[in-house]
Amino acid sequence: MKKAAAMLIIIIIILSGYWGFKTFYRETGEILGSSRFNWYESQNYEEIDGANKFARQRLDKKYHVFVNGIFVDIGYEWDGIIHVPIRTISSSLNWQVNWIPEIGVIQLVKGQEESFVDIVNFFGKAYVDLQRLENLLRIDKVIVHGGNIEISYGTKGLEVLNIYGLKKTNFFINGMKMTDKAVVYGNKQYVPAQAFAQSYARRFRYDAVLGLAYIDDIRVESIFVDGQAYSTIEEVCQIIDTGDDLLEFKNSTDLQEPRVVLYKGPPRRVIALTFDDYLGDKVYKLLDVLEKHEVRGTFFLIGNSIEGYSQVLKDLIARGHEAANHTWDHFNCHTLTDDEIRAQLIATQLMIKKHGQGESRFFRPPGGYYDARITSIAEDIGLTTVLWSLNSTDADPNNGPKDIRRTVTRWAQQGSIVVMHTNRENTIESLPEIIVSLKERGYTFVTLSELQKLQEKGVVK
Amino acid sequence: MIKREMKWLIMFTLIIITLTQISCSNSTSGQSKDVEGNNATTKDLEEDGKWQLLGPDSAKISQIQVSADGTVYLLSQGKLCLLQNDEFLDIGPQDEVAIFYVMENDQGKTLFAGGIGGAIFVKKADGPWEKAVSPVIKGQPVSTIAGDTSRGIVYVGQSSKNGGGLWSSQDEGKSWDKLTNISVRGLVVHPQDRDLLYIIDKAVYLSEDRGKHWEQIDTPANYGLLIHPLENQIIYIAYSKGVVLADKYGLVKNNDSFDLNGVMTCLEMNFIRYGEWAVAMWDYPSGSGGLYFSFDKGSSWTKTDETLDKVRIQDMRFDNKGDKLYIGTAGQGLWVLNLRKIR
Repeated sequence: MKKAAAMLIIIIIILSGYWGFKTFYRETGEILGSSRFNWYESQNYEEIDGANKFARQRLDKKYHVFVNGIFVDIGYEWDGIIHVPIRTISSSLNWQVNWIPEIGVIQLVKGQEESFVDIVNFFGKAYVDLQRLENLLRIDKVIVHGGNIEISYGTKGLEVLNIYGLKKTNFFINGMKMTDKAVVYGNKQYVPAQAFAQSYARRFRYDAVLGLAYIDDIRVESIFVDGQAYSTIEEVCQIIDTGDDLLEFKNSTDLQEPRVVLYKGPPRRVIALTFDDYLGDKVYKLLDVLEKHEVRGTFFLIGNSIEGYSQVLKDLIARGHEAANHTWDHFNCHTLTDDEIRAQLIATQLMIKKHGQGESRFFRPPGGYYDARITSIAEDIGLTTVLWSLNSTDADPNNGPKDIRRTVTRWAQQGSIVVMHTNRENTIESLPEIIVSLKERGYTFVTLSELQKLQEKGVVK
Repeated sequence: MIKREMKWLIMFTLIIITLTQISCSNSTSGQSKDVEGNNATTKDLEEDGKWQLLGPDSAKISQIQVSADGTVYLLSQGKLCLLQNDEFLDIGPQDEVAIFYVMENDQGKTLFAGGIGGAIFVKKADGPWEKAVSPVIKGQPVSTIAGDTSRGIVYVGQSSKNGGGLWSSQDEGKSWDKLTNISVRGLVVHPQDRDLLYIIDKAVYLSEDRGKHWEQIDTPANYGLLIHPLENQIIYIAYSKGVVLADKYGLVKNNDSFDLNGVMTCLEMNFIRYGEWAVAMWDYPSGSGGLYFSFDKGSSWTKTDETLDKVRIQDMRFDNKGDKLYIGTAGQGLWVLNLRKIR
């Protein structure tokens, strides 16, 4: 009996010791230093990789949509049904497109006609079944062949030039490559009007019935090359005030030093807190918490939220934080053309420069969706692509402040880049304990620029 | 003495290790079953008596109707079938069918089938299929067929890029009256007040006189319509992410969002237990979805399980006793869910 009791005590001691060690090991993450295998980080990389592979697979069957010969957007086949972007196609046929956010439907209006359309939302972009759209817009003819969808409406035929017969060149705004498809035609240089307008965050639309292009509902003189409207700089600048911006056509591109995708900093006792998404009033609460604990972070901002909260951006920079680029609309970059990605990045860069009195150096692709094409385009704009090594999981509405704190403090390591979000109460509530706990463990909080300075070479996964 | 204690210790440790491994191996196999969810064999899924696959496992089912005697009719890849001994029995017509409707009244059952080219076929009880006069635009599919069983009126609606409309027939398709030029994607006949008809298309329209006059209901919700079987003043107008509770004129009382992933592919009310609703959701970009149940008229939703997470559900119908739900999928067969197992 005594022996059994002694054995039981020994086993309890062994198990308690094991449990204690395991807890301590997990909670502090410091026992074996930076070389410790970080299961969570490894899973994070796998998740980002997996999500990108899955997205590419789901976006594999894509179609370039032409309306009366004008290239308007890209559609996808999902589960045997072709889905096309409703906004661009409908507006090109002169339907007014209104979003009703309360119930997530789109209202189409043309004269006395009105339709309400349920949509498939993919990263803020609305798609609809092609067949449904054909009925709603009473499209004359739809031909799907190869990778194209050709929509015919009315009788207008366009005079379209073939880009292969024209001299191509690059075009830059303040040294940022806006396109590599500017053209020379009849001794004049032309830029894609849509890419130019969107680089300045202006509304662009086609009237595919008459074969016209509009910037902010003002007609812009254009020629059509490969289904896209091209205009001279003089023509677009009559509508868009480009101020002192340097607009250049250049045959060559200044060779950019290849940049690595930054997932994590060097093995030093530093951590970079990064905050994604919209500027808003709640950001002040976040800034106050960071200021109280003397921590500076990096904010990846969605460009279209800046103008309405420009003072927040100014204050954010005044308090020592860093503004970075999270694209203009937060679309999944895999769904965008090269010029569209460039415009998304340039528009945000210009907006940060306008209100933040500086230029951002970092870009985070929305949702972590990226590939070599996207990072290469970011390089053309002068941006380093940044992902994260530690997902705080604050985007999950089921996670409270405790969960966020536990995740970050448990898995933080030397050089961790932590992803968090701007307008979330749970994040703000979790931060004080995270900061105090990590400071106690000897960490210093840095911005991404500071992190990069500490790093001779980026960590390439 | 120490050696004996060591033996004890080693034995005890081995027992713990063995138990841990057994537990790990159990959880691993459980995990792989979860991961493979949809690859699980039919036998696995049927073991608990909750799910049952009926007919071919790759069948594409676009429409289901369950008659009052419990007979299941379904549309599988353009073929109108009867479910008999868990097999699909093709009951014609020869043409490819886009939509069908089974009308039941004192005279028995009458089957109406609308073809993809606009033809309409009628079949009485055990009689042959007969091609009816078709009023719809030729070359375009018939979009919907519905009926007022008590009066023997059948309605045919069409929504196409060339227009559409709604027609009614009181002589089983021999002649038709055009009721409106509004294009019709879906039609609901009020189960109690059969003068009330609702059109669902680009917007929702109401007629209180069997389709002679129509008025647009002021709501942007246009996915479909549920009508309370007992309280005839209450309707539920659905949109892809929720339901609007309204009076019969569409005056909205409240908005309830599903807050579920994806968009709704179908919504059904159990007419025996009318607080019980089922909704199928599908997220096209990610190719995933789920089947959800509400036991409180849509206020809260519970996911059934992961059996049909990777399957797009195209149609659902409760059976005549309200205890089974038939589920038609896009390429993964016809399923029946035993509701008694999930209540």
